[in-house]
Amino acid sequence: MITIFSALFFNLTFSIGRTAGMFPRYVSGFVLLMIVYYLVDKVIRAVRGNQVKAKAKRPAAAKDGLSWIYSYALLIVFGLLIYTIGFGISTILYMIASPFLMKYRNLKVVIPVAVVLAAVIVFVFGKVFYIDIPQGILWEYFGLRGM
Amino acid sequence: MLDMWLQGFQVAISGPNLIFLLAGTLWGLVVGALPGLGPMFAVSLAMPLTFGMPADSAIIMLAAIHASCAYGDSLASILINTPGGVGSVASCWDGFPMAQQGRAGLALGISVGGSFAGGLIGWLSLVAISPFLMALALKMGPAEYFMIGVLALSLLSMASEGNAVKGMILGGFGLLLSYIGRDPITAIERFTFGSMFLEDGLPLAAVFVGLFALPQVIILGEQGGSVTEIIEAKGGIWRGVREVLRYPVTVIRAGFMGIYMGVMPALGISAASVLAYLVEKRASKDPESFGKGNVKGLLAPEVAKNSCLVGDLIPTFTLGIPGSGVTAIFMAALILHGIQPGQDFFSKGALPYTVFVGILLAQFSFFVLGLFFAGNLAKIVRIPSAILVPVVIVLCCIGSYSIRGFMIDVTIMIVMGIVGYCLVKTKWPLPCFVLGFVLGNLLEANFQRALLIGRGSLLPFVTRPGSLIILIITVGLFAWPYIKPMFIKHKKRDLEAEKLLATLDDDENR
Repeated sequence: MITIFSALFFNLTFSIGRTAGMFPRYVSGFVLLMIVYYLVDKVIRAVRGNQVKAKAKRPAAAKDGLSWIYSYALLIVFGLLIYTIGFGISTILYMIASPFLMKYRNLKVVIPVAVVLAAVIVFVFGKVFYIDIPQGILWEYFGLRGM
Repeated sequence: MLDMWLQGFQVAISGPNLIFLLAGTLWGLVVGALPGLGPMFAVSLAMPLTFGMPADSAIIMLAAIHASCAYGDSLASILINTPGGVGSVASCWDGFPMAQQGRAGLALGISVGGSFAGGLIGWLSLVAISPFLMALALKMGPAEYFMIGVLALSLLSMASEGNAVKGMILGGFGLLLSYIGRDPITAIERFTFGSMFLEDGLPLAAVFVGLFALPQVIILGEQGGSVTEIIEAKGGIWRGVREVLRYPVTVIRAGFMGIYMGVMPALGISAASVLAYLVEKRASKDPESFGKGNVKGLLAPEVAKNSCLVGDLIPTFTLGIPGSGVTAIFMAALILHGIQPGQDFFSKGALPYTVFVGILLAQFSFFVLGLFFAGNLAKIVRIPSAILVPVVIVLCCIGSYSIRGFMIDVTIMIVMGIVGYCLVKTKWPLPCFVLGFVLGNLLEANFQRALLIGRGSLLPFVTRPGSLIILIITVGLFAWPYIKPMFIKHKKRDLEAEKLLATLDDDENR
């Protein structure tokens, strides 16, 4: 990924003018050189059989944990929900779904925490810090004010 | 200058600033008490929340979080033998044995007293050294600033032992991402891919929250569960504080070691605390007692850790060169509030004095709260991860959104979170990326200015004495590992020290 970005940046520096492109060109060139050095070094070590560390098997998530893939997938869904139905409701839904997926099913704790957290954040950010909390485009489409 | 100090004191102790100080201290203590989450997480998560505050209030709050979180890290180390953060690894070695021996209160008292003493020593150094460094900074030109930035990046890369190449790659990648937006000299748009949201560059808050806070909390989610066994601290905290006064040599030695580690770029609180422990053990008349509940074994790393934290701020405020990953976030917070560290910071009237007084007050605030609530705060580790993780993620999202009000910032946070997670799991040194990202504009702007002064020539980098000296030091540091075997006979290494220091790599990369 770093290689792709560096190569992309290096290529783009030729189209943005001499001054603006010079330093990024040096830096991206340096990064690409370092990547080549790193890869060549790894190959040489592998060929020589020196200090070949067995790749440690990545530990799976604990039984009551949540794998990083599911965590990020849930986070992406949360982001989409914020955009569509607003911050307040999506926070409550997320705060119920996430513990549920982590096998914590004590609704007497989960639901109050979800509601209180959403309310506190909406109040603190909206009324104290005067920050516009996302209302959700769905409500705006129907001419309503979301939460 | 005295009236500036008085003005700064007056502003720092105003009602709102005291509230922010208290809130920051509580936030830092709570986050610090949670295993695995340290100052970097606490400061990066709080940074976007300070956007609406005045600059001095924001810095005071972040300083309070910074100081109290480093102390709070020790609570988990002492009571459940799990480092609260990278700077508290050494606190486990004698702190937990003390707790197991029924001296948990004493250990907590030593921790809070030692942290306070370290913070005071660091503060005194900050106040004493800053004017001299500022005078030096005024004599520095663009070429010198550029070279210092390169030196800082190089040191941080080399400090990632065995990972120097990875450090340089990540540092360079951080630099590249910092160039998204506008060229600092000509203001030409570059690397924005046509997106108007990237015209001002990648949003600092979203990047830092995504890189530091999100991966840590995702990893916490993977681990699941919560801590069920915790040693109760029943009394003895005041006795622990009095114990600190019985070892002034330890306090002063560890304090100055912490300051040195803080001022040097790349050496952070983990190096400071571990080395202070090792030095204290070597200087002790009964080194065998270390690791079994020796008071000095806990006191030295606690003092060094907090003095290093404040010492880290010296190059950050004076030269605009962050001393570590955490202070890089600090520097980002200053920039977020429109203040360029360095000469610009010290030209803002009473602002620097307000900040200095705020940092001093932060030491007192975590000391007082730690004395009375340390044992209770530690119980926070009992909160199930299933509740804690989504709460923190919600805060990450709202924090990233709140700066500019664009959902794209939340998207950037998520993307950087995935990047950060991959880097943490593959043990790539994340602080190198942070430093590169924060120093990017400074490096390029000063490079371009030096070129303009030299009319397109690179000669100013070698003809100016300051720049030449720093260049020689940088090249020398790179070449030293290869030159050293020619001049120095191989000495028998202290295997224990190597083992202990080797743990730094794993922890620093988290």
